[in-house]
Amino acid sequence: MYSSELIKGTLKTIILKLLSDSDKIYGYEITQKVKELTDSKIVITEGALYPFLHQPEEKGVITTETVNIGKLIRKYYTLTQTEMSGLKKSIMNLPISLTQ
Amino acid sequence: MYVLSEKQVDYILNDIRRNGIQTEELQFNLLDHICCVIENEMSPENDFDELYRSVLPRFFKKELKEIQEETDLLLTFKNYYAMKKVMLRSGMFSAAAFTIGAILKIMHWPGASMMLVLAITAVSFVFLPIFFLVKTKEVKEKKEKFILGFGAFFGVLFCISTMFKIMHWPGAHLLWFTGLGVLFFLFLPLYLFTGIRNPDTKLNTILSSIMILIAGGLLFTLTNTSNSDNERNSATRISYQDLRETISKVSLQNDLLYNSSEDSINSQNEILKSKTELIISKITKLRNDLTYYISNDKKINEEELVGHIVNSGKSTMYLFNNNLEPKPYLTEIKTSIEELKTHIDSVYGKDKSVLLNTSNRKKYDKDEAESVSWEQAYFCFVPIDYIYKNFDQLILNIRITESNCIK
Repeated sequence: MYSSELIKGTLKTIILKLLSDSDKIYGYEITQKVKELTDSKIVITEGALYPFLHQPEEKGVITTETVNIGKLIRKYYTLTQTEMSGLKKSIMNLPISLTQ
Repeated sequence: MYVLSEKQVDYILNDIRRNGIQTEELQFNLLDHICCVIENEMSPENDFDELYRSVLPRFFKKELKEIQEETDLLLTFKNYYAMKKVMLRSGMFSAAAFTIGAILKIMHWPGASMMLVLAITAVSFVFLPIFFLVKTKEVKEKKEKFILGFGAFFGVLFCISTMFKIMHWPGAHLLWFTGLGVLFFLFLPLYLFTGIRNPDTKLNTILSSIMILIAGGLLFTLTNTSNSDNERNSATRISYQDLRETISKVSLQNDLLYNSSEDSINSQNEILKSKTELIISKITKLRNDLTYYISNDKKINEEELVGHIVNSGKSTMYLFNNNLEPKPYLTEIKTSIEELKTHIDSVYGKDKSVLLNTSNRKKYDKDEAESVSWEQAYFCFVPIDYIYKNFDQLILNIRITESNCIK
């Protein structure tokens, strides 16, 4: 398990990475995927991602789509095209040793 | 997979609301998430209430409310940084505009007033209000917020009254005194007595108060308490009217003299009359054109401009070129006067033309005896009301010379 401060600092990167990997994704799915991908080394506090998701939404980084499931309203998050290409570019710019 | 009933969903939603989540979007986000967790983890032997109670703590460290607080904080911080950016930019803009405006004003170049008005407007309506908002976020006590607000209000008032003073707009005097009054009798006591009570801020408050008092006192000393603008206006107008009246009286007298002169010298006088009238019409045309130029084609007449301080750079720009050499319409008048002088010297005698003097003048603002051309002495960087006065003096001198000749 990593320290919670470290996870807090890297939360943005983790969420953006997950968004860029999938077509659309909702909150619960994000926490499950993080657990799955990191062999439960990183367990996000279930509520911690929402403040972040509310923030970049305003900047036009993420677009959202809501689907009604019975009484529930599920919100799917998608990375905008411009952000996607920007993200890919910055990944390309990373030293090779880091991306491997 | 277990599916939650509508009643259970409602129960969770209400519980989320009760725990301090106010934003609707956040409520539904959390509701969906919690429901997903419960539906995935529910086994036949689990009790809903029990499971819900065990799932909820995974969402926070101390209480659910912290998600709402974190969201609010992130949103406010975003505005906070944007506001700081605008504050910094408007501050830099007004500092630059103020410096440029001050240089333009000192050099009597055009555009000074516009720059200063822009700078002061940016300070009073963008910089100071945002400064107040940003600072109030940093202090906690209501009292401190109130003092900050008062300070910002005084700052705006002070800036605006300075602008009115610089631009000589009506009401400047009243605004200026209101500003100083607010500073001395409201802001300063309030600031001092609030800060002095707190041992942490006591020394700083006393020092700042002394500084404010000194600065305010200096400003008050600089203020001309005699309402000098109005007095100056009135005096200028009176002397302007007097001079105009004298000119028309002398001119009327000259007409009578022309009519009563003997036939033998009539032809000479006719030449004198036409030469004089030509020069005076040239001068009149130039001053009318100048008035039109200065008033930005708004058809303000001379009388309205007299006594109002207009940047002398503008009239200089109209009468002189970039190297400060007089433009043709000004030199033409000088040449005509010199021609008239030569004519009078030969026909009426040298003693009659002493008033027509277009030789160089001694400059008064320098210690060494530097002399400048007639045009520069009377019209270069001279306030508009003095230009009118100089034109009138010139016309009067011509009329008196004329009168001396035909007597």
